[in-house]
Amino acid sequence: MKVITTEGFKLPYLGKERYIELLRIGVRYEKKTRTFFIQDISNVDQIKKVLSEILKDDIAFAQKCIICKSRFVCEECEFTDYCETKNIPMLCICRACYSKTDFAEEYFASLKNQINNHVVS
Amino acid sequence: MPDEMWSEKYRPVHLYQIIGNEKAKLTFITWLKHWKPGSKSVLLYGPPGTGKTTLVQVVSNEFGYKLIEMNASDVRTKTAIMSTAGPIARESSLYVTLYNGAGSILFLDEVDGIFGREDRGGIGGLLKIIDETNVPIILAANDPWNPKLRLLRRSCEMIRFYYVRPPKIIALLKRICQEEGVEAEAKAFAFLAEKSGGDVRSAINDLQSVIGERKVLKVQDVKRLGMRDRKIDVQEALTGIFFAKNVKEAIQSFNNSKIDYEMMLHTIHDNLPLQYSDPIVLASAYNAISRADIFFGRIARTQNWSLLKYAIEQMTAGISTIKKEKTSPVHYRFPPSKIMMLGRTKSERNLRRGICERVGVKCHVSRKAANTDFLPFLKVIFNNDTDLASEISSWLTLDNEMIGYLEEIGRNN
Ligand SMILES: Nc1ncnc2c1ncn2[C@@H]1O[C@H](COP(=O)(O)OP(=O)(O)O)[C@@H](O)[C@H]1O
Ligand SMILES: [Mg+2]
Ligand SMILES: [Zn+2]
Repeated sequence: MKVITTEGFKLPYLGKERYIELLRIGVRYEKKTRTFFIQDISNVDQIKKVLSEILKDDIAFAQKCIICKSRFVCEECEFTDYCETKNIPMLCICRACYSKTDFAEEYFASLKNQINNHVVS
Repeated sequence: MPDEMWSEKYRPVHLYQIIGNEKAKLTFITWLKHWKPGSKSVLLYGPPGTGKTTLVQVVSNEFGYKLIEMNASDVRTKTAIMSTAGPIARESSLYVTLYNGAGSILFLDEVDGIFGREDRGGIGGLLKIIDETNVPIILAANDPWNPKLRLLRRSCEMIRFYYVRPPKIIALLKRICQEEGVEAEAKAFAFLAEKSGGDVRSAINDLQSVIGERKVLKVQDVKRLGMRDRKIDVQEALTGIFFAKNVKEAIQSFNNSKIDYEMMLHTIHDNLPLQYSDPIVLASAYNAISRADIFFGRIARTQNWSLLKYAIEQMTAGISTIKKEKTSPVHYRFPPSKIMMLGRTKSERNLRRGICERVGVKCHVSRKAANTDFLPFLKVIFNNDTDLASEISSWLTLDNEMIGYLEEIGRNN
């Protein structure tokens, strides 16, 4: 299984058709660094399908922990059975952070940070 | 009766208090910061109870905008919208400088509800306002994919909201319990998060109703709310029904599930547009659903249960055997977003109306608000806390039929 992060991934050479298809479903390509990015997650199922055809492997999207910034996949999570957004790449809370007693405070502190950084920048 | 709904008491006042949809939040702020006349308007869309309305209110408050919320009657017709929104949309930057604020924002919430059924020129008016406005315009909707809204979608930057993930909901519930001085077991939070299906408002409402006067919350207290582990079951059952090769297989898939037929009917109804895109296929599927509903109605009136097999056949095979287009299973939505207002018997509608009227009078809210914000809450109470229920009944002067109705609809969903 290959893990794809929203913050950039490489792909083997693609034909023009495949390339256009990717752009159409919300993937962006940066020529300078030869890196692909997932720009728009609303078509995530389709992106997943096309990427796994290209890579000839199952793929999973990396989740990012908003608290510790680590990356992980949904399979590791204890809430997968009923998470409504399973496998959609998003900010989340990793298992290690969730197991701390003060994770709620940590989560709100991270949200506060995120907002402050954004509003300032 | 609780003094205050926690979903109101804990409505975020600062941006960081809005959980989930972190990307959408930042995109929205960026849009607003860079907005200038000629920019696109914005359409926030996604499931109910995820903070769309709250985000608009919080952002305008924190950034010093004057938020002007339009309601349905302000925008029904072109004339109406031109006379209410027109003057604000033409607000000049001079006004903003003079009044020392960031200016006004026009906000139209729940556009799908307002324009989804009929449009008497309001959309055209709104498009014109959007085109010419000097102030940012924000729209919000649960379901923006109604064809009637196509032009609106085109003139807006679309920002999608998703259901909120369980650990984030748990963080919020934990924080509320701390504020309220309630000790709660971690498992209890997890159950509530699961049951909410990612709808933050309903998670908070459920939390409040299970806590009641308690100072300690145990898993058992929450389990009585009736778990929705049926969710996993639903995915399997709907896949089975939609992709059945014949009538028998379709019925079998339904029988294998633990979902009662009423709930299944609503669920299928809600998921049809996710599964089928061809309008003709969709139309015949809806027809099958309404035939099933007619059978159910007849059964309810006559108690003639031999009709049940026809009803079930319509609702399962009736929607899968018509399939012409090539589709594959999707992620099905559950629980159904609203209980369909079937109005099967007139008295049911009247009962609901009567209850909402009484709530409205006592709580000083509109009948509509009573319906959306109070009724779900009452349903839960009437099924779990007989003492509180009887107290509320006498306070609202509910009659026996109304009480029976609240108990029944609570049991069925
Ligand atoms: N993301 C969220 N963070 C915190 N509270 C929320 C969130 N979403 C909803 N709520 C709670 O639910 C209530 C209703 O939310 P609202 O903004 O009206 O949702 P929507 O407009 O998406 O239906 C709020 O008053 C708040 O208590
Ligand atoms: Mg709203
Ligand atoms: Zn973490």
